Amino acid sequence: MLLRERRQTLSTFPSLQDAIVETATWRLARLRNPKLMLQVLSIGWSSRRQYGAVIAGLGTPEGREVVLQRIGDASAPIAERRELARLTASVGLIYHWYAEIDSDNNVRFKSSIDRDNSSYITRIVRLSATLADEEIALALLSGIRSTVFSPGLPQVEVDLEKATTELIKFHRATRSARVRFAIESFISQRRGANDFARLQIRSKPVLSLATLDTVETSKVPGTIFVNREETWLQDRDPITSVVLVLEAIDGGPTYVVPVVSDKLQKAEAGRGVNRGDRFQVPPGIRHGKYRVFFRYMDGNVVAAESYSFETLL
Amino acid sequence: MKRTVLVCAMALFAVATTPTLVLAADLEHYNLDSLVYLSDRIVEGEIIGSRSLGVSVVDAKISRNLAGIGRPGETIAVALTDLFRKSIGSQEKTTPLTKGDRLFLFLIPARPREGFSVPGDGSVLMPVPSGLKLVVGGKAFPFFQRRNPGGYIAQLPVPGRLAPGEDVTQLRAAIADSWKRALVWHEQFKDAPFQRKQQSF
Repeated sequence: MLLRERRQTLSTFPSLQDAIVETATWRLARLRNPKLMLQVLSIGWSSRRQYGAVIAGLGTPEGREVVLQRIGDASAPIAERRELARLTASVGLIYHWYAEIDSDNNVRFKSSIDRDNSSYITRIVRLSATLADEEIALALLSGIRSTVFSPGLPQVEVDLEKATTELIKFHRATRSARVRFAIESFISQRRGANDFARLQIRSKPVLSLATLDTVETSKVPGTIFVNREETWLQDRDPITSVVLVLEAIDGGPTYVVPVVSDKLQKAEAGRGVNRGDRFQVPPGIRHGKYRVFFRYMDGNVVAAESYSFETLL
Repeated sequence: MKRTVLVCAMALFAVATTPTLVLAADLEHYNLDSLVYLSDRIVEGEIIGSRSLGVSVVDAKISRNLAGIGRPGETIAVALTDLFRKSIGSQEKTTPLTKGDRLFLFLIPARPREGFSVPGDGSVLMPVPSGLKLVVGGKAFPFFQRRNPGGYIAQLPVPGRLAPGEDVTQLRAAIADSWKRALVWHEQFKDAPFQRKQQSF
C-alpha cells in the first residue's frame, strides 16, 4: 500500500528518487518472497536503487523459477513479461547463486555446487523459442550474452553446451531476422567455430542486421533512418564499401545508396559494431514496398548481405 | 533510518572523496519527503567561511532550525559542499558556494572513512545526497546534476531564463509536514520486516 501511495505522488520531471520507497523495497527484498517482488515490479520502480532491491530480492533459485514462469505466462501483462525478460540476466544466470543482503543493503552472492547449472540457461533458450513476442525472446537472448562474464565456470559451460543445441534449433525454426542475428552473434562470439558451423549459414566476413528506426525516420521527410548491427567474423580490411539496397518487393527497380560514413570505420574479427545512419530516399523513387538491407562489397564482389526489413517508401 | 542514511551517505561520500569517481557518477536526487526522511538535522543558514578539518568544510551560521537539534546563531561545519555549485549567467559557467550564500541544509553527521578524514565525533556534518537548496530572493533553488561528469548545480534565474524555485515560507511548512511523516516512517521501518504485516506495504 505504501509503495502504491508513494508511486502516485512521485513527480514526473525532474525525476526524483523516493527514499521511503527504496527503504520499503529493500525491506521487502529481505523477505525472500519472489512473488512479492513481482508485485513491486507491477507497481513500477522509480530509481536504480529500488530496481537493485528488486533484483536482489529475486536473486535466489526460487526467484529465478518465478521469473521464468511469469515470463512464460501468456495471461500476464506483456509489459511486465518484457520487463522480467530484461532483468533475467541481472537476477543472475548462475542458478544456485543466492543474493545475501546485509544491513547496509550491500549484496553478496553465495553459491553452491551444481553440475549443470540446473539447465537454467538452456531452459531460458527453450522458453524464448516458445514465445510469440519477439521482444521477450530478444531480451532473453540478450540476457544470456552476459555469460561472457563467467567464462570457465564448469556448470555454466555444461549448461551452455546444451543451450547451444537449443539455440540452433531455435535458429532453424524462427522467421525473425532479429532473433536469427542474435543467435548467430552469440554463438560466434561465445561458442566458437565448431558450433557456429552447425548453424549452416554461408561463409561471410560479417553478420549484419538492418532495422528501421521509425522515430528517427519520421523526423525528416524524404529520408529513412536505418540501424545497422554487425558482428565481424573476419577483419574488415577486404571490404571496400558498404551500400544500402532498396529492393522493390514487386520486382520493380532496385536502388543502391552508398554508406558514406563507413570509410572511417574499422572492425576486427569478433567485434560487434552498432550504428545508425540517415539516408536520402532516391528522388523519384517509385512508391511501393521495399526490402531494405546492407550489402558489403569486396571490390565488385558481394561479400555479405545483412538481414533485411520491409517498408513502404 | 540510520541504515538508509548511511547507505545514501556512503554513495555521496564515494563520489566526493574520489575525484575520478566524480567524473563517472550519476548523483542521486531525492524528493523533499526523502531529503527530510534521510536527514538528522535540517537548518537554514548562511556560509560564513571555509577551512580544513582533514577535509575542506564550510562554516554555516544557523539562521533557523527546522528539524532535529540546533539553534539559531550556532555555527556548524559542513563537509562535501564542494560537490554543489551554482550557475552564473549561463548554464556552462558555474562557481562554488561561497561566503554569504544562504542555504537550506539537510544534514547528517559525516563519519571518517579512508580518504575522508573528518573527526569521528559527529562534529562535522554533511548533506544527504542532493540535500542543499540555495536561497535567493525569497526562493529556494534545488541542485541537480546537469551532466555526468559533473557535480550538483543550482540553476538560478537570470534575465531571459526562468528557474524553478520554491517559496521559502512554503518550503518551511512542507518540511515541517514531511518531518512528521518521516517520524512515522522511521517508526514503521524500525522493526525487522517480518515483524510487520506485508499488507502494510
